[in-house]
Amino acid sequence: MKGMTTVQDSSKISPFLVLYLIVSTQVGVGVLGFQKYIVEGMGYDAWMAIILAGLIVHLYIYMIYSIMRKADMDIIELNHVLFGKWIGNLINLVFILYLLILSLTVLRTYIEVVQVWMFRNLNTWIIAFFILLLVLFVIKGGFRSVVGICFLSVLLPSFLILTLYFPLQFAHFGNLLPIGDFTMKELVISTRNMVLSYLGFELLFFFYPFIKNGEKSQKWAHLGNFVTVSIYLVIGIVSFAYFAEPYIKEAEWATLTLWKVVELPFLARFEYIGVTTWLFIILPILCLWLWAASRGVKHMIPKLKQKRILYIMVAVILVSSGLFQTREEISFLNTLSSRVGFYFLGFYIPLLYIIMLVKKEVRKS
Amino acid sequence: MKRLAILSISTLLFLTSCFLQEEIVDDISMVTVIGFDKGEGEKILATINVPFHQSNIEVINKTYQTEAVFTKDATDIGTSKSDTPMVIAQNEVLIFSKELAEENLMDYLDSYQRDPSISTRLFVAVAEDKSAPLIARNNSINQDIGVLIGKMFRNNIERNFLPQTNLHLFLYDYYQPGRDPFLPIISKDEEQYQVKGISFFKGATYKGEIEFGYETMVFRQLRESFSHGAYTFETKDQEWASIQNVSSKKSVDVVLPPGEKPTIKINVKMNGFLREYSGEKIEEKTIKEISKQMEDSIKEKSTELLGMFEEWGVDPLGLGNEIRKNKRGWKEKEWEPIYEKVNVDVNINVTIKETGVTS
Amino acid sequence: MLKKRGKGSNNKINILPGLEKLKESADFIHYKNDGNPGFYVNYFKSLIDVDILHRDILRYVSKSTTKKLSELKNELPIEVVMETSDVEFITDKIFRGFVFVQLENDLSNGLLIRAEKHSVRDVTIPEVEYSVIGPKESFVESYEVNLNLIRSRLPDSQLRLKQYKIGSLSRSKVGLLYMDGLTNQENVETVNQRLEDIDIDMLNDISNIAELISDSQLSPFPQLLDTERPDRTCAALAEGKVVILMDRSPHVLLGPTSLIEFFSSFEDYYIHWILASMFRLIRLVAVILSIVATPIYVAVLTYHHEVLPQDLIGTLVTSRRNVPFPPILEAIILELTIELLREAGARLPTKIGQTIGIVGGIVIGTAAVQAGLTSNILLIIVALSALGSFTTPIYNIGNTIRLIRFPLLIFGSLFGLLGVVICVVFILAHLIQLTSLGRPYMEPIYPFRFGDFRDAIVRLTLRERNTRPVYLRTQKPIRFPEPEKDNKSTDIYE
Repeated sequence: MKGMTTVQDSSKISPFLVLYLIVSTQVGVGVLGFQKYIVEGMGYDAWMAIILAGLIVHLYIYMIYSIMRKADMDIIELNHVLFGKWIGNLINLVFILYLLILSLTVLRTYIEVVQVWMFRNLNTWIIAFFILLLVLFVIKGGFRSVVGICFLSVLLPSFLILTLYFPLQFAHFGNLLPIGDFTMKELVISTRNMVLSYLGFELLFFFYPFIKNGEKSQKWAHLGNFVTVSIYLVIGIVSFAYFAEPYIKEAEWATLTLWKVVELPFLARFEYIGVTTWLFIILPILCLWLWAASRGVKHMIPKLKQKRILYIMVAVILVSSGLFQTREEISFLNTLSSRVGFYFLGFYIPLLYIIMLVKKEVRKS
Repeated sequence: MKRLAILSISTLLFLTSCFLQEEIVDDISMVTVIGFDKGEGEKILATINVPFHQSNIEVINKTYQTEAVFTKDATDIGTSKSDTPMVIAQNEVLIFSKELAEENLMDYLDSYQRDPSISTRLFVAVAEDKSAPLIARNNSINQDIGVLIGKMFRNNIERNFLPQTNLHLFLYDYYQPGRDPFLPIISKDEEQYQVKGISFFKGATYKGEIEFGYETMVFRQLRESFSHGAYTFETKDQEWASIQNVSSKKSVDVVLPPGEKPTIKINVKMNGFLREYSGEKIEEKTIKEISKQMEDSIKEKSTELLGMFEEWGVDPLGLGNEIRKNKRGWKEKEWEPIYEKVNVDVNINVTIKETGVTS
Repeated sequence: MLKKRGKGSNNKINILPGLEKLKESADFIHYKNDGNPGFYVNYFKSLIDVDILHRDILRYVSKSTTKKLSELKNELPIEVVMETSDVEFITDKIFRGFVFVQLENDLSNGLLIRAEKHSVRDVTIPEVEYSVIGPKESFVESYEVNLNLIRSRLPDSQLRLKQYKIGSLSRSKVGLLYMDGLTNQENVETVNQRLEDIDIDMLNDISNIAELISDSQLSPFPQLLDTERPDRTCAALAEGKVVILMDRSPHVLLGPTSLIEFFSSFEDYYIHWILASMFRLIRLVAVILSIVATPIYVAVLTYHHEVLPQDLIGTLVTSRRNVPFPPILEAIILELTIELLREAGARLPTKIGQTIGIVGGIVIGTAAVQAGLTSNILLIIVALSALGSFTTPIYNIGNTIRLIRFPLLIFGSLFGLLGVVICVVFILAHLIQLTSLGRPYMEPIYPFRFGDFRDAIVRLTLRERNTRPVYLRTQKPIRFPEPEKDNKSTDIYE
């Protein structure tokens, strides 16, 4: 059955673009410094956690697809149908707040990276203003334009992976030995932290109705996740081989530090190119999340115009981005968003999956 | 109207956005070498070199000396003496006096490893004695001495017996459990810089040094694989033989028999060719003889080196790390001192392949 | 509706007063010729061919003795002769180069005789899209000649022409060409609709139409391809594009088009495909460099000295040492100088234009460097990027490229490389959203269509390009059957 918010065929996207959507949302600012968090548990066996967490995400994607296939409506509406108006709306509200916090976290963390690595005295508000202006511009072009940016943001920065050749010159793959030196508890810590790095795929809940032949896109979603896992795995292993373990535990942005060794005849320092190119990588995330959030609100209160909602959201993010200034405040933001993400993954999706399994049919109330 | 509003807001932001500190290439002093010495009391004496490019090739080296508590202060204070602000992003070489190295180098290097503007390919070196004389008074050299020293190090790594070294490798050895770092020693002899030897550290504290030449060659062979360099040595028949290294491959085997002392086998396979020989005739027998003698001599030297390392209590070959790779639940403390806990077995295999081309 | 005026009775109306307002123009000729019967002649001296008038019209009319227009019509040796009494029609035709003849005895009717003067320029070699190899014809101002150039290349019944008259004053003849049964009907309908919706007084050139019917008029990117080559036009028609042409305009418009197409010269199809692909790549690289080179120079020299390798620093520092301005000012001065030279060169006759180029390039450049106003490295960069922007085969896009460099420059000087990237993303986002006649402009990059890459950044062999571009959504996607693969000869030839 069709939900109340059917999407016009002309604004739907081809299934294979789901690959790019998944990759571009999963690869964000997390890549710049995920090593520290996964090494926390398992040490240099954490590459296993990267793979294991990837498998878990595959499972989640499978669950989301089974939910969506049965429901054939987006998550806002589904919550209404399943949990009733009040509880449903509450969950939706939490969901939207979560997306906003994630967007804020990504934006603020990226600006922090820029401030630390490039411009020490860069005003947060001003750069946030320009980035958000860009986001508004992209979202105003509709979902197709957002997807286009996602697509380009995977395609264009993909050359960055080549730069890993340089740290390989100093790689000690012996660092990874001995394999399997960890306890169960450590495995859980690393895997949990890694799964949180993969967050972003849950947006499938929002854009599923926008995919032409939604069911057929599942393989692309899985492939997208596979690509993300490969990216994380390659970066993870290279940085494990390149850095000493005690060092990586302190390194805030290990991936950026990897670039410090890149040297080209016309370029002495690559981080500057890397950090600026990273704008390409965070932009689609912001676009997609804010798009989803504004669309979510619009579904809850159909009277409002999506444009208005978006303006308000962007304004809120702009103002609040400047309020988080110190390292601790930004880490708090990161912890907050990953905590919410954790509950979201740990409880909400499995719950939804079970309910959908039990329910024979989803009927629009 | 809306567009106009956005436009005016952006313009307003533009007007208020004279906020980023410009660092225009020709309006900054790019520090290329800093030498640190012990200053008065707690302070350190920094000798800073700033190249002034007169033309594409001609450079005048300007030297500043400052005293400061921290390494970063030194450049800040230097700025007050210089016409343009000093930046350290183009720093090529850091030189520490031996006196400072005997304390803890990490006190000074810490701010460098945290600074995002510093390249990890930066060379860190120990001065033979004090670092200031190396940098100051370089009026006769019309080349940027930072670049000069940097190129000299690179040269020695690529063509000679200086093992790979830079800030990253130093930090790697420093942080990696079961490994200790080393740094090259630099000296200056009448306007000529040269690598004098290699100094060894426990943690970041200087413990001892070896001389550049045969000793560093053997050390490099034990430490890493490389494929260049030539060495001339005296054979037992009082003849001289010059061996060109074609490739020197290092591999490590760890034998961990339960309940017994583990053995670390360092295997070095060297291929070379006899470049020159002062003797009469070069026969197959002579070549065999020479390779045998070379093997013995390297082996002897390595035992000597290992003896020195044991005495200094340093582990630049990463023997502890080799054990770690092969033993789960490895603890650094349990394996110290490493030389008492393991047997080190050095196998040298020298193959001299050719004797050059007769034409 | 005819106005009831004049002395004529029995529903017979004198037309002459209707032409009264034309007489106010000095070049309108109106006179009566006495004879049996006497007759009136009306025409615009400036619009008709006087030879035809004297040789083919007056000679016969003055000799004739008939009092009936229909008989007179048969006596004339000219084919296009109309008998009419509609004043509006007559006025219109007089403006189109017709002579209006009336007989004394019947003033309510008259004959319109075609005697228009064809001021036709010869078909010359293309100047904007010059090519060494290939046809050397280019369109001229005459609609008929242009149509002839197209039709003679595509003698096919599928080629259809729809005609419009646009402009309340100019009443320009505008044609819409497409291949019936091949071109996507939706595209034809879009153009048709947009052409019909144009409400304007004056059209001077086809670029006016391009501006009026473009999808986004705020965008600096041209959304319809403007060409002067008949061969390119016919290839576009065969590909399934729509062609718009206009009388008095030596260019035609092709659409829908994509960004990549603006960087393909039509000569690419006449030279070997590997060479053509390489040239295209060079052109693309040149264009990208032309956009970002100066901004990157400004950004790096202003903020990111860290990224400069040691070996370059000496060169850069010494070249900039005597320059009193910050890099952004230096760059803007030079960029404006180049623009000035281009503008001056474009407004002057070719010969003088060349001189200006040399004077500007060599004298000003060298003098500026020696005076210490700019650094010679920047001079090289700016000159190269100007050169890069001129490599584009389509003139319009070259202008766009030179324009979008300036915001990049300003942002680069404000936020360094980050500012440059912000601008680049902005441009990319804009390009993604842009459409040409409703079809995506960034195709085949986004939406990604692998098949269309056969003729985009590279050009594959003619045989391999056997399908029409997907984004045109043609009715016949296959151009010609795929050549059979010879499966036998996979081994070494014996």
